[in-house]
Formats: sequence, C-alpha cells, structure tokens
Amino acid sequence: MTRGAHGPTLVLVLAVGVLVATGVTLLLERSLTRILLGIILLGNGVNLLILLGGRSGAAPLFGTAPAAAMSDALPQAMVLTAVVITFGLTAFLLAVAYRSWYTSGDDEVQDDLEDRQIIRLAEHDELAAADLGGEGPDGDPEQVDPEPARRRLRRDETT
Amino acid sequence: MALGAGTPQAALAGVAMLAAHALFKAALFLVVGILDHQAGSRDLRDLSGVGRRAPVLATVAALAAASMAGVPPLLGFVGKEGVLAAFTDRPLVLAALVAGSALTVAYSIRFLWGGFGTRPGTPDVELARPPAAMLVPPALLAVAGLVAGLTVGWLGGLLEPYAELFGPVEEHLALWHGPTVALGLSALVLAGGAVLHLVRGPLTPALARLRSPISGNQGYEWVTHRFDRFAIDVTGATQRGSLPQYLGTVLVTLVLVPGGAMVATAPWRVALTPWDTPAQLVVCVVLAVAAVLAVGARRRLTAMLLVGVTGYGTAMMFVLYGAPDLALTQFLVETATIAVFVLVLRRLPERFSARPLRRSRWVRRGIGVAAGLVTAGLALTAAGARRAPSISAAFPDLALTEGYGRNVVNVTLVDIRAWDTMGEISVLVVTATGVASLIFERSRTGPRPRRPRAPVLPAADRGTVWLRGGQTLPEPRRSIVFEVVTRVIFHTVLLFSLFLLFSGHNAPGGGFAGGLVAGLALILRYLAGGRYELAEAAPVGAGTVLGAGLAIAVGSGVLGLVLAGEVLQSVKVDLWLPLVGHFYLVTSLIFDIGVYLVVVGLLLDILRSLGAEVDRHVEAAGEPGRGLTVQREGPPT
Repeated sequence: MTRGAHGPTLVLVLAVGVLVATGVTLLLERSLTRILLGIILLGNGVNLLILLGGRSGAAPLFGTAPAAAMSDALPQAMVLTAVVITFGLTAFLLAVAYRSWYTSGDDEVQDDLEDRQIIRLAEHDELAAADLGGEGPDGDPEQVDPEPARRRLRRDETT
Repeated sequence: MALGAGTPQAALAGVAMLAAHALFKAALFLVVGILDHQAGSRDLRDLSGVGRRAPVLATVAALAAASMAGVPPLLGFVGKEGVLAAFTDRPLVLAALVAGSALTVAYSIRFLWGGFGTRPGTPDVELARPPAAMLVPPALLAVAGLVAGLTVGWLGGLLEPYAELFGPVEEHLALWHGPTVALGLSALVLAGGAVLHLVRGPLTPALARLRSPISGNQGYEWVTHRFDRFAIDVTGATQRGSLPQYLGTVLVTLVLVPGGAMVATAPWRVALTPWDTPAQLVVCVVLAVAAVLAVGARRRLTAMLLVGVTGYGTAMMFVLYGAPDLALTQFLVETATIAVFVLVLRRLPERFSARPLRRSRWVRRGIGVAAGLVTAGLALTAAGARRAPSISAAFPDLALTEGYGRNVVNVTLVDIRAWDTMGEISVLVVTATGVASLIFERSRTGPRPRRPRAPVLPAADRGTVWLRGGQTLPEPRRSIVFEVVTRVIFHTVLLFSLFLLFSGHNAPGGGFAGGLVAGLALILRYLAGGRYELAEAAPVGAGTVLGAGLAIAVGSGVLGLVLAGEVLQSVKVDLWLPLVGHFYLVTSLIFDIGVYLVVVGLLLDILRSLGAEVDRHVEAAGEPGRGLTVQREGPPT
C-alpha cells in the first residue's frame, strides 16, 4: 500500500480526469438536476485531486504505523470538510431545483430575460432608457425651474 | 492642482484652500438658497435692492465672497497666497493661477453687486426678511472663515502633519510673511479682478461673440448618448444571460490559460506509479464507466444512482489511499445524498426534459474532455512540484503532544485546523437555513407537525405498534417489515453514532461521521413512518439543534481561551470514574460535539424541508401516491 517517493499514482490521476470531464459536461446542461450531478462528479474529482497532493500510505493513526509510512493527514482533513460541504451544497441545489419545479413546472435554468432584452436592444441599435429623448436646456425638470405648466406637460409625456 | 503637486508647501496650501473652500462655498450656496427662497428668484436681472432689505444676509454673503476672492485676513487669502507662494518657481503655472484668481475676484464682485446691489431702473424686489434660523448656518460658516484666517497659526498646526508626508514644511501658514512675491501677486489678483469688474460693460459684446458652436448641454447629451450605446453594445455582446455560456467561458479560460501554462512544464515527464494496489485499477474502471453512463442517462433516478456509484468508488479510492476517516465520511455522505435526492426526485419529472441542446452537445463534450485533461495534467504538475517538505510531516507528533489524540485527521479537524472546521460548520448552518427557506412557505419555527392525537384506527384493530407515526400513512404505503427493522435498529444506530463521536479522537470517526450516522437514523425513521414519525423521533426544532451545535463549538473555543490562553486550544482533563477507572477527556471533544449537532441539525432540517414539507405540498396539490403523504383524517381533536 505504501508508495514511497515514486511520484503520483496514475490510476488516481485518470480517475480525476474522467470525473472532471464528465462533471463539466453535465455542468454545461440546462437541467438543474444534471448541473447538480455534474457538481457532485466534479466535487469527487477535485477531492481526489486534493488527496493526490499528499502521499498515500498507512492510515494516519498514531501508533499503528511509523509516522514516515503514514499517508498525509492534511489533505485528508481538507477533503473531509469539502465532502461535507458538497453535501450541504447538494441539498441546497436540490431545494433550488424543487423550488424551480414548484414555481415554473420544470427545473431548467432559463436565460435571463433582462439580458435577452438588452441583446435585442443592441441588435436594433436602440437605447435602454427613454429619458434621453430631446433634452433641451430646460429638459430636466429637476435641474431647472420651468414654468409650472411646462413642468406638468413633461411629467405627462414621461408617464 | 495644489494637492497634486506633491511638494510639502503646495500640499499645505492645498489643504488650507480646501478648508477655506468648504467654509465659503457652503456659506455661499446657503446664501443663494435663502435668496431664492425669500425673493422667489435667483436671476441677477430681477434682483435689486436686496442689500438694503436684508443687511445681515448681505454681510454674510460679503464675508464669504471676500474669502473666495482671497481678501485678507480671511482664510481664503491665506490659502490662495500659500498656493501662489508654492509655485513661485514655475512662471507658467503661476501666470495661470494669477489669471484664474483674478477671474475669481471678478465673479465674487459680480455676485455681490448683482445679488445685493441696487440697480437703477429695476424696481426693488419684494423680499421677506429671512428668519434667524436660516441665517445662522451660513453666518457660522462665513465667520469661521474669518476666525480661521485670524488664527491661522493654530489651523496650520492641524494641517501640517498631512503636508509633512511629502517632506519638511519650511513656510508655515500665516497671514503675514513680509513683503514677498506672493503678497505682490495677491494684490495684483485683487486689483485685476476689480478692473475686470469695472470694464465688464465694454467686454460683454466681445464675450457674446465667443459663444461655442456646440452648447454645453448638447455636448453633454452627445457624450452620455455615446456612453449609453457603448454600454448596451458591450453588455449585449458579453452578458448573454445564459448559464451554460457563462460556465463555458469560464471553463474554456481554464483550459486555455492554466492549461497553456501547464503544457510548458511538460507534466507527462513526471515519474508515475501505475497504482499503489491493483484494486485501485478495478475501482477506477467501475468509477469511470459509471461516470460516463451518468452523462448519457435519460432518467433522473438512473443518472442519480450512477453518480452515487462514482461516489462510493471515490470512497473506495480513499480507503485504498490510506484515508479511512475520509472514506467513512464519503460513504455516509453518499448514502445521505442518495436519500435526499430521492426525496426531491419523487416530485420532479421522471425523465429529463426532451430538450437536449443537440446542436451544442459536442461542444459541451469537447469542453468537458479538455477540462478533464487539463485537470489531470494539473494533478501531475502539482504532485511533481513539491520542493519543500510538507508542513504536515509534523502533524502526527503534534496530534499526540498538543491535541492528545491518535487519529491525526480528527485532531487536525478539531485542533490543528479547528478554525477551518468552525468556518465549515457555519456554512452548514447557513446551507440548512437556505434549504428550509426555499421550501417552507411559512415560518419553520412554528410548532412541529405533531401526530394527530386521535387514534386513526380503533385500538383493537392495531395490534402491536412499532412506529406510532406509521399509523398515519395510508395502508398501501406502509411496510411492516420496514417499521419493525427501524424500531429495532434505530437506537443501536444512534448509540453507534455516539460511539463514533467519542472514539473519533483516537480511531476513525469523529463529529462529522457520528452526526451523519445519526442523521441517517433520522432518515430511516422518516422513510418508515412519514413526517409525524420524524417529529416523534426528533421533537426539537432543526434550528435549535443547529444553533446549539454552533454555540457549543464556539463555547469550546472560548473554553480553550480561558484554560489555555488561546482560542480553540485543547486542554487535557484527567478524570476518574468508578468501574471505568482513570481516563481523560480533551476539550476538543466539546468542539466535536458541536460539529456532531450541526451535522444532525443539517440533516434534520433537510428532512423537515425536502421531506415533510414537500409531503405537505403533495397533499395540498391533491396528488397522493407520489410521497409519504399521511392519511386524510378529520381535524385533530
């Protein structure tokens, strides 16, 4: 089980590669369930990646093996917290998926409507705000003191 | 400009000027406001005779305007002269300063003359006498300008520390420096301004011809218009509003930038061990097959279970790598994940929607494979990049001597890197709260859903009651075997979770593993008996458990501070009990109990939300049969 100073374990590197590749592929989907499964796969891959940062060996229990033959405890402690955090994240994203289904009938991540609108504006060469039209010297009712009648007129126009 | 010059003298004059500006500009704004309010106009052409009718206001205005013009002995004079003195060695700057200051003097005079003078041919404006409360603020400011000018030595003492940041200050702020160049220039400025005011009549037509072909308003509009267009173009091009596109961009950057850098290090030349044990190869194959199948799965449950296989595979990898604690946690987490997933999947459609983004499928797979390759390469690079010995080489000894425990990983979690764990359990508390607030439409802190008091069936028909909550489930949903097994093993499982908690310091286990086992026991109770059974099993609020856990963890940190002088420091306490004999406790156990409670609280909250509350939604929607719904009965008596 001990490896000594021979370099990283190829099998684990392969596992990291496969888990990340499949995780990323699922992550780029639109269904929240798939995205979540992708995150879990990605998380498993990254946890293995972190584990690779320390050497393998006997279990890090003092007294069961000489300290030099033990596996590295630090990445294990880090991964342990990561595993539990991933669980919390999973539960949270599941709640989001359920909520999405509950309100909209499916769990797909839709495009942002506001952003779509801006893209349409850009394509049509239009401006976002309506307040730019025809500002004369007295255009902004807050800045100067137009006659009361005119002030009312401009309010009517904008509403 | 004075503040940006970077010499101590200019900096000192600059801050003095800033102070003077604050005093006179604020006062002048207030004066104009009062004028507008009282006279109903601030058009110079309408105003006449204001000075006669409001002498106090006129005096305040004159004082402030004089400071602006730089008339001695006001603070404005001190500041302006300081600025002139700071630039005597730079004639061009000085000329600009003098010209600008002269214009300032001119418009100060124009303001006073126009605002408060009496013009022949214009009728005196109707002006209500301004009330005292209106006059006090500008008067205070204007008088402060005068007082600060007279006591400028004291003010200079306050401002000089700033100027000294640039070097030693040679000339202190003062009203009188003797006959210097700056004094002459100040006089020149005042005279120039006065002359400008006198010749304003003949100048006016000349100025009128200087009108720019584009008015300020038009220029401003054009600039804002162009900015707006530019913003929309940039936003439209970059902010597509599509999550896959954003993630794709991030991941492609990951592949190109760190991936490109990685290629330069040629990680494939690192010496490799094929495997520590051949079993790893078997696990790797299983894991890889399951992962690839999960990508193509059409049904949610299938995909979920395949991902679960990779999770258990990862746990096996941990075992084979020599990380039993990690493997234990991973096994438990994977089990809990599957359980929680099933709770939600029973509500979601069975299959993924038939919109598989066919066109971009190969793009997504390409990005995925590239990201996998780069990550694997990074793993090789990182593993081969170690130059210095790892900090964790000392952990085994530290664990025993400082943490009094033999399980190095557990001692790392509760002692050596306890702050990490503290942060993590805080995240878990937040996550649990987030889950609950996404699902609950009403307050979660209200009364627990308790089993109705009235018996569902006549007592004679019931026979032995294994789980009291079980009776609330509809008959086809009940499994008597499941109920019996749950009843029999629940307490044993809880005991085992406590064993893991207490033994974790010296053997695999600890607060995380123990808490997960206890949470799985709760899942069992819920699955066997429905949501009332869950309330029977844990008659406390999830929030209470979470809060108690966090409080205990923080409390143990404070205990370490009190007993050992450092937050979260472990202290060993020797104890003796009859029958047990001598034993010892370490204060980090208390921290681990906090972790245990937080994990239990997290699972309880998830069950309450994704389990019990979703059941209630199912019942409300009137489609029983998809969840652990309870039998419809009359209102509890």
